[in-house]
Amino acid sequence: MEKEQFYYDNKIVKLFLIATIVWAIVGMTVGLMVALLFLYPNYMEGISWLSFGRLRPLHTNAVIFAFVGNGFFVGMYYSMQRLLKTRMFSDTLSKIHFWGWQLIIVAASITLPLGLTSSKEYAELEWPIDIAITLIWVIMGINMIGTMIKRRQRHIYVAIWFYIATFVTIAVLHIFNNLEVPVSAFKSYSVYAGVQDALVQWWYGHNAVAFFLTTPMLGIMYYFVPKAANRPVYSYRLSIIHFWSLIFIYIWAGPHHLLYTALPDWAQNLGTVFSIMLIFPSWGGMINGLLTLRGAWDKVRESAILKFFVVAITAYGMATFEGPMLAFKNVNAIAHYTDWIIAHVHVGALGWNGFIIAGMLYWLAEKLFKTDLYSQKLANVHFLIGTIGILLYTVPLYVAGFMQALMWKEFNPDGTLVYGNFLETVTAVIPMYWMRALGGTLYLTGFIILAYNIYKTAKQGSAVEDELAEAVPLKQISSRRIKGEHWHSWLERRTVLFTILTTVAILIGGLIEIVPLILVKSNVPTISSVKPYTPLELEGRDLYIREGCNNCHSQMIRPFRSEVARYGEYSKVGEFVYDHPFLWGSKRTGPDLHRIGAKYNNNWHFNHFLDPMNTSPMEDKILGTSRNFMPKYTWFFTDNLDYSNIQSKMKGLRSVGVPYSDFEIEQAPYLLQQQALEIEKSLRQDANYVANYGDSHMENKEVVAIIAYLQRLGTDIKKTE
Amino acid sequence: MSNNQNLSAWQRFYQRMTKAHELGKEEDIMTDHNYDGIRELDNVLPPWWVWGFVITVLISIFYYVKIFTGDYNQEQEYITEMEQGEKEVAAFIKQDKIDNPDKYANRTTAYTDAENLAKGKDLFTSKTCFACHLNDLGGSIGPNLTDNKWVLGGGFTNVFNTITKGGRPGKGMVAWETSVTKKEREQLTSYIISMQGTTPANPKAPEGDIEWSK
Repeated sequence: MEKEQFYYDNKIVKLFLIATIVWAIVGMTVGLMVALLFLYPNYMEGISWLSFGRLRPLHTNAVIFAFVGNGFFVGMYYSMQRLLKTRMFSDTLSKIHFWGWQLIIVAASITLPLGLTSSKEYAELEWPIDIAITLIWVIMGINMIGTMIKRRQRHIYVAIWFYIATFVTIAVLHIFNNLEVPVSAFKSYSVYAGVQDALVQWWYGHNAVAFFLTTPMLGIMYYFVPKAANRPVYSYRLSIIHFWSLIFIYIWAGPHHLLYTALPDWAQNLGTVFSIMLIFPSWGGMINGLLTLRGAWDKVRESAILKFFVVAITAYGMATFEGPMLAFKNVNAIAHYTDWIIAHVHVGALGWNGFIIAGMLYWLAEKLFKTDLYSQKLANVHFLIGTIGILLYTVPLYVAGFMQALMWKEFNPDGTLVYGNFLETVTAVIPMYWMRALGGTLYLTGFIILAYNIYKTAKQGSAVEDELAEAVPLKQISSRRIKGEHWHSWLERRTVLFTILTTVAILIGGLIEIVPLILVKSNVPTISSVKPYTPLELEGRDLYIREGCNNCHSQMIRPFRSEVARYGEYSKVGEFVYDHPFLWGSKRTGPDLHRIGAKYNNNWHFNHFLDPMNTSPMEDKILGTSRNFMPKYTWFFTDNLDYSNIQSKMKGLRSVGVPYSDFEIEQAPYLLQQQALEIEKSLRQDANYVANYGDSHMENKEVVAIIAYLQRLGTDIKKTE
Repeated sequence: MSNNQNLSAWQRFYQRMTKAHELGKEEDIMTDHNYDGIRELDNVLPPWWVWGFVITVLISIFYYVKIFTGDYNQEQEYITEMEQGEKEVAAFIKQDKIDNPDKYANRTTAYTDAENLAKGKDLFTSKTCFACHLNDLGGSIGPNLTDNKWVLGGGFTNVFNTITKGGRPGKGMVAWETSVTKKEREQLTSYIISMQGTTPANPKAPEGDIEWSK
């Protein structure tokens, strides 16, 4: 049969490559900005859109979806065409995918600092952007599957299996975690409440790590590592076993993010055991990558690209061992809510994702621009300071995590807490935060060097936008040739069936965990005294969401003696039935707030928001001053509370099961004003308040709403007694 | 695998655990795959990996079954931990009452000397009392401490008890006995009593129904 000539689309690869580098630097810079807020909490004082609670989601979203996302698309568009011996299915779809994705990122960079957020981690974007993501993702999927269908390669290679798993699973996760009722242009409520919302969120959150930060990177590893090392892949059968076991088991492990919370035991323990079973499927990828370098270790000494790959795959192996260890309940009891978790995710993000993408970008720069890399030396410098950066970032935070856990749990012999004031546990770890910021700076510098090096390489080379290739088209295969064919090889010829089987494999775990939790009543015992929020409290809760308070404060007291002594009665699953979305949080930079309601008086909260130093000064031994990590929420005191949507908010919540009556909804603005006036009146018992704010009409400002919400938190349960 | 005799025990063990095909003879296990020049070997699954996988699966099944057939649950674990804690604390206090009877004596010392009052003044700042009561004790979040109205009663014993055990729930005055020693609480109380009757810059309106003055 005649060979056909065709062209690979290198232009789309180049576009994604530029986007990857740009967003890498943006995302990491925002990361550094938030790291600096731990050192100089007031350096962006009074600027609402640069406060920690709003910037932290921008950092995580930018790094995950903008940097690693674009990095995946670079590798996918380059390798897929070559592995399937065809140009992409449609140049138009490729372009829509590229520009659509960049627009989504730009929309995220605008809306997140504005406080338009659904509060669910790594799924913060509001509903219009969620819809855009779905559309663009499906366009990418059509392009992927179309390319597979018009391929000239009979079988699909393991890298493509991982790309398929990525496409299918992210689509499912994204859609089901973002089911929400829109109540205005940029505001929606999750359809799930409390523990159900928590489980769906961490099914999503955990598997975003699995299928956005792991499977696409494994696909990239399977193409670029054997290419760069010029070695055969170590074991085909290992690829098969670890692929299917990985995608099947991963999806079950989400509940390990909710250990010792109010999630029922049966679900928690499923999270634990599936995490343990995940070690070897994950390591299958690691050893297949590392052993592909068998017989090529001399090249690793020479090549910066291979060094990046080796450290990346090793970091993957470490993070995927550490993850299952963290899924043991007794280890999780120490690590959860502390900086240990921040260290853990950065081993994955900086080591595994960052380095495998860096290695790939250097390798591609030579191929795309048909020239040698501008400077091998600079690439080696990047590798060196990047590696030091990772160590300097993670090691101190591991120490910080242990210190926090030990200090939070330490009792005096007489039964009182040694560190009864939470602030003592915060000041103790400030030195670690300095080292972390330094490590992050080094790592970012490495990527700036990469940007320069690749820019110079592009300048000295010449980009070939359409690269000529040739291959024999597929023809009907004779049955004689496939006699005795291995079953998996048979499957590799059937791309649609392969995609369907992948979908089945990733659906099972989620269905078995989530459906019973939603349908079986006994999983969420009701507490009759738990009632919906009042209109003002609801607006206050939305401010809590807007400011991203959940990024530093949990609302989930675990059933430990130390937590009950510090915060009060541990959290019960029935207390969250009207929480759309749940706000349990995952990190305690500040104390838990579930029982903050009625602990202090309104004046305390007023003064605290005005300047947290008023009520909670904290000694910073390094800079020798007093400080508090929490920003001054100055805008709470100047901005009028906008409650124009309160009725549509309550109607939206009613449609997902919050029992607001017609009367309550109709009277909502009036009820809200009444409660605001009461709070304002109570503030007047402080002469200083009257002197300074007596004429400021605080009943109209945002501060009364957030106070109303905080004073309600965790108090309903006390009414039963 | 050749030349097994020349290998050390460790090398033999390593070989048994990895079963990696010998370098240089890889064509034996090369598949006919060729993806854009990428070839694939078909090394057997490393035995250590297979065993690791099998063992983790067995551990998981054992763990899950044991939890569901045993009497472990999260709430029971909490109850056990609380009982254990209470037992330890009771044992400590029993012994401590013998060792440090002063700490448990229902006796407090009021000071009037300059040195202890100055200490009390320092504590008023360092223990953040001023955040709610202000530096001149005129009151802000918390009540004015200079007037003659008291929510929980004036005088040394009442004020000492309020500092020790905290105020009314929901008003923000927490119990300080865990973070301020008895001596310090005595100094603080003495300082506060000494300030009763002074005139703060911006006094908060009196709160409480109990009248007391020096």
